[in-house]
Amino acid sequence: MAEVVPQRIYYRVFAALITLTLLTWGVSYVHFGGYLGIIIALTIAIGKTALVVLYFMHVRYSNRLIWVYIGAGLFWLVLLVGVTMGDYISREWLPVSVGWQRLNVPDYAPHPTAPPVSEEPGRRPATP
Amino acid sequence: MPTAHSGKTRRSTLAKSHSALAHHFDDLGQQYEASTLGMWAFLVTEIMFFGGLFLGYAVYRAAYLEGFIEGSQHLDAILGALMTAILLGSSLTMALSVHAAQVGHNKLLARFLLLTMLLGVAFLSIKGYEYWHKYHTHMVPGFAFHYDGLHPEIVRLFLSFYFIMTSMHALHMIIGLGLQAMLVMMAWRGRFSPEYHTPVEIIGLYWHFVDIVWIFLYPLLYLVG
Amino acid sequence: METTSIPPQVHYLNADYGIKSWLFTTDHKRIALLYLSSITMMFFVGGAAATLMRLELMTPQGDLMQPETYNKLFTVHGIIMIFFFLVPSIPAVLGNFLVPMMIGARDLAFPRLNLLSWYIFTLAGLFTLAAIIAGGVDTGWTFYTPYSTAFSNSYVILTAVGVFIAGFSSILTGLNFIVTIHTMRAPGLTWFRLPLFIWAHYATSMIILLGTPVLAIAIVLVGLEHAFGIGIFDPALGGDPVLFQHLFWFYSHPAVYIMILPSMGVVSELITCFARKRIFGYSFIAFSSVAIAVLGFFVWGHHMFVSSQSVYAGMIFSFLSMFVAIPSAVKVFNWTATIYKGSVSYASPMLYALGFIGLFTMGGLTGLFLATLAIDVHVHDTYFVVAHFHYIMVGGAVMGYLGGIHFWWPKITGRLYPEGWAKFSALMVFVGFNLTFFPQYVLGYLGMPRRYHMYPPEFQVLNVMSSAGASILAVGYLIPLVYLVWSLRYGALAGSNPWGATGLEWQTASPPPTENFEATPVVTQPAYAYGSFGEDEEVHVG
Repeated sequence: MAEVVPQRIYYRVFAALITLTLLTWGVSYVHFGGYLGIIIALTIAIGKTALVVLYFMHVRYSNRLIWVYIGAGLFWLVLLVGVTMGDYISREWLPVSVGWQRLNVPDYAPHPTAPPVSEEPGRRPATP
Repeated sequence: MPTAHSGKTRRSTLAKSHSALAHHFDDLGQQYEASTLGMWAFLVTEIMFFGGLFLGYAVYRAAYLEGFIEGSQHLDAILGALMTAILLGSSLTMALSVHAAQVGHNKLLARFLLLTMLLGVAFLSIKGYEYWHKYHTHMVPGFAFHYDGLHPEIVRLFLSFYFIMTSMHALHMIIGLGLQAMLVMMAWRGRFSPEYHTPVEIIGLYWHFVDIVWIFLYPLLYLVG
Repeated sequence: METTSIPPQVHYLNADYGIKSWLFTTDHKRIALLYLSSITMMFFVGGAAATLMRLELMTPQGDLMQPETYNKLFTVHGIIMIFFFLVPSIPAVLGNFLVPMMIGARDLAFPRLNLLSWYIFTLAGLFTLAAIIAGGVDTGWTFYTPYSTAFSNSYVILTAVGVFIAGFSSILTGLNFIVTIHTMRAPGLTWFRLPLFIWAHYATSMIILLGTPVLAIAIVLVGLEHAFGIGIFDPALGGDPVLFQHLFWFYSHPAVYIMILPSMGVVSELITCFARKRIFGYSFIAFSSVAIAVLGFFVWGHHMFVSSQSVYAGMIFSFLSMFVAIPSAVKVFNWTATIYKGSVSYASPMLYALGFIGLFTMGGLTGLFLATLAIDVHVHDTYFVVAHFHYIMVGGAVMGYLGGIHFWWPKITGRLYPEGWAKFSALMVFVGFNLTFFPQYVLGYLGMPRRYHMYPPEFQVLNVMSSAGASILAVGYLIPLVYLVWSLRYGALAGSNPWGATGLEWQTASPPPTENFEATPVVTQPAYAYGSFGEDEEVHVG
């Protein structure tokens, strides 16, 4: 059936995965600017995922159809997250936008040009 | 000559009368190919299912980073790293059990499966402890949640994502443990051989997927900021 | 194509007797019939809701029922018709029956999963019916937050659970089809010799696998928010209600392609058979099915133009929505070219297919109106939208479904139905449909909002026309119920190929034996090898 992968490869992959986990944890103590922190964390996670997919899940030795399925799944995930985030990010671009997330949350200072927020009648009080 | 099996040649014909061959398949090779493809198709649906949760997380993390950082402080990163290591170990033992099945060591197969289950239970125990601790400190949204620190609404939102994502993950793990228990029974009854051990492989695929979800959950939930 | 009139001694219907042989069957053909009975029931439940709605709308005032009741009726109508009729209809009935047969296989790849998917569907239906009986849900089938999560006092969670479970049924069916088509084709049956019905179901299954899980998670989140007040969709707690809409429409827009693609597959089969001609542009139609499946995932924001989505996103979604119309148009052109200079006969399935082409085109064109940002701002949430999607879903999908049921009825039951009655009800459906829904375009354009139980008096004439049409449509749907059941006992014996159609399913007996074929067929010809128009490429294998 599937290719018999030698056991030592599994052990090596496991060692690499543990190393990357320690790296993830260690890197979290370093304070990067802007988006660099999340990019590094996700890159390491993607690296670990690639190891699991290619070796533990035998995809390295599988036929092209499986690769197409995986590619489709990843593409669709990126589509869902990417396009929706695109909506949220581009909401800020209009000059009159006040940013959807700043209203009704007392911690955040209102946008300087935002109109005053009115009390909405009939709202069921939020549960604590 | 055009063939019907996605361009590949037919596999073992010795298996035409194998007891594990279902009547609607021509041979074990076709059955194996179909089962594997079926599990991968299912995993694609799982990617999209968890994807919706990751989308919600992404939206709110982008909007409320300080609140998310605050919330993440209340999750123990070291415990999380330990849980990650345990789950990665269970993936290793799962891969080794598939290997044992491929070479026909049924007893070793059963042992590695039990080890996988043990590690899975260890993971769930730690998670259960985490949940209990959160409940005890009134940090479960919807269950007398109370938070005195900064950004309480966002911490509440963050913890909502924490609980929903990890409990969805835990649910998938529990199902995986059930499936592995079934495999152990089948292995004990000698149902697997080098020619036929498809259930071990495809449940292995499922288990590795569950591991991958956690690989992302750990940094996104425990290591924000 | 030889037609034998003597029915086989043993076939899938009489191979085994008793209720257990049906409830524990793994035969894809019997499971198809189990689904047929379930969805027929669901169709009439949804239809009953529509009947009551159209009765209320005969008069401008809200005089037949409470406004809340009307809200529950349109919600029920939407949920039942979409999730419990349209989404499963062709795939679970005709697809289940025909996909293995058309590729020369003995069953689907996972027969027990197939039965499980019917049980899951039944369970989902029971949950939803329980919710309706308990008091119903009034959020609209779209479950928009924050109404569904924070304000509605109706049975949101119970209904949401029903829809959630139904999603699994759909996923299992799609999974089964994709794996079957990849791995179980008969020798010689390459991808480009497959009937277009198969291509359509493959594309549909792609959408099901990629989209349905997102709906599932959206429903889970609504349920959790309703139960625990989590705040993911609640602005007071930092959430955004529009996030729900993104998650919801990411599935629900491709879902409309789940509902129409199988119907298009049926139409390809019907047009070729009743024009006695090879399909024009086979690979264009095949690729357009996949293109619709893929492009359909890029346009969900066109349901959210006025929902405070960013204008930039709106512009991109509007632009992309124009593209998704192209593959559909390609199909319509190719079907038309197939009929041109064909030897056309007007049997009842062909009447449904022709109706499909005309009505789907009208519905599709009005979709372009709606995709245009500036127009949508005015007609969003009016009857224009209602008319648009009913032209596609009813004028398109349901007519394709009925055409398919009629076309393959002889294969499924071994009997012929009375053709005169069939033609009559097809025409009744066509007339009734147009009388019901064309006035709704006008109403919407004039400004009548949807989901309202009352309206200004000047809209009454059009509303009465619409309700009158609905009564004709209802009769048109009821008549087949009568003669199809009648034919089971008294219909003429069909023989293996009464229509003289190509396709592997017609080369076995009617009704087929449980194993479908005496021996696995070997395919040597391209699809739709009808008559002498164009060259027949006889490829000899081996």
